[in-house]
Amino acid sequence: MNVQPYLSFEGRAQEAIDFYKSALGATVDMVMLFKEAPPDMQAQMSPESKDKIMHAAFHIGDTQVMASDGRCTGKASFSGVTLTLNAASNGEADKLFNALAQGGQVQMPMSETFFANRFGMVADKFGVGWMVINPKPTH
Amino acid sequence: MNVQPYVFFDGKCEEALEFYKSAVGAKVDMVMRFNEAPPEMQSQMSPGSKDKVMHAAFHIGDTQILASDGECHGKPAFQGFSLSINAANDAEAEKLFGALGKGGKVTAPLSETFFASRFGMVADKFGVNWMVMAEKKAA
Repeated sequence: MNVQPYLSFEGRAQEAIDFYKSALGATVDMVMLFKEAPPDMQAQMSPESKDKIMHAAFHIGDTQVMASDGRCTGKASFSGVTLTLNAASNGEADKLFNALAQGGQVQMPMSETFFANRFGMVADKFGVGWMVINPKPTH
Repeated sequence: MNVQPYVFFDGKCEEALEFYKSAVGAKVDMVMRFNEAPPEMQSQMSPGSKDKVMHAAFHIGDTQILASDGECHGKPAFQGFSLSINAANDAEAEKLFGALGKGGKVTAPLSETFFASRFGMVADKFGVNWMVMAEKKAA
């Protein structure tokens, strides 16, 4: 049994995946479009969503994350959950943080804290909240 | 580098940890309360939040999930994210789905789909959205 984060981008999943490829080095495992679903499911879909992503899986570092365009409302909104990105060094943490912040909003600049060598919070341009951390070795 | 979901329970974290322990066999790795933070951080906190959870880590199956009471407003709200829980077989999926749904709301009943032997969606009593899934076995 395991647990994976699943994000709904409401029409911008392809754009988001491309962003994470360039910002975080994400590698795409699979993409299934709505038009690839069985015919009986497609009958329930609006024609404009057929080229949108029904289900995608990609890796960020060692972790597989999943995503969809969901109901394709065009209004992605994320709350209550953020993604913690554990970096191996201060240099990697700074690089990841800056890449995620492009077009996004920094909520807490990267700095040293009582629990981390580097810790910062940023909402990326899709509204996904990230915590980028290089933990202290003893933590 | 890896990615972990960080879930904000807004004051109900302790209750949520207890629920996940009993519902899905979660194991708590650590809990740090606001009153355990360094003194200079505690001066910024409201007195009512001192016993609340600043940071917790727990395992569900093989996956570590992080959680906090965050700003402790008492109104957790979740949007855009689901947690996908992968069960080993149909029976485990049914057990997990039933347990997570206690006091919550089923958004897609557990059933066989074209991509899964069992798949269902439920918002638990805290509002966290879960996808419970048992993969199709190769013939």
